Amino acid sequence: MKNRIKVERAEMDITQQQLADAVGVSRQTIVAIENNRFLPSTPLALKISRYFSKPVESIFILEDTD
Amino acid sequence: MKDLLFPHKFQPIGWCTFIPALVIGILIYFDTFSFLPNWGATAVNDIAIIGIAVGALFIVCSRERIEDEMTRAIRLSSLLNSIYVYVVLLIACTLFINGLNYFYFLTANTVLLPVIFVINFRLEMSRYNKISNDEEQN
Repeated sequence: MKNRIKVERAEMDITQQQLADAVGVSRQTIVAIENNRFLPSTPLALKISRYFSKPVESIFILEDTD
Repeated sequence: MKDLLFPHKFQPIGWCTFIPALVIGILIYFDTFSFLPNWGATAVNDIAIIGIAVGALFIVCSRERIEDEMTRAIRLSSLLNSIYVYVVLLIACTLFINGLNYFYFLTANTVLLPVIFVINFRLEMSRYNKISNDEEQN
């Protein structure tokens, strides 16, 4: 599964730490999600999407191999 | 689902218990405490085993400074990997160690899984921390 968190952060001009604080996780978790090393849970994915005010499907993209 | 984790302050308590107990345990194998009377040697053995077990428990089952779903996933994955490593070690030692040495292995075996779990979990956590530190703060 791909995600556009890095792109959305760049558009909002926020750091990984700021996003991590906003959604209640560590910066390591945000880094791991951005690098596709960790799949967020449904609540975390929804929190991230709500933070960016975008639908979850536009932030997290399901791939054919998933 | 509620996690049954100790507060973060138990982690340093765990390290302060685990490392001395591990050192005592290693020293026992070199007959360092042979000068003690029977009850003393038994007490030292008990301190080593219980200290390692309780110390390891506090280290891996305490909340991280920031406890989130990724640390929980790492903890669970480390536990699974530790079980695999433990079983492989158990089979290998059973096949290749015999006699009195196997008895020494069996005594170490009582705390082998917690020790492997501690090593595995801390290695995984430091790996993820290193990756995030290497990544440019942006």
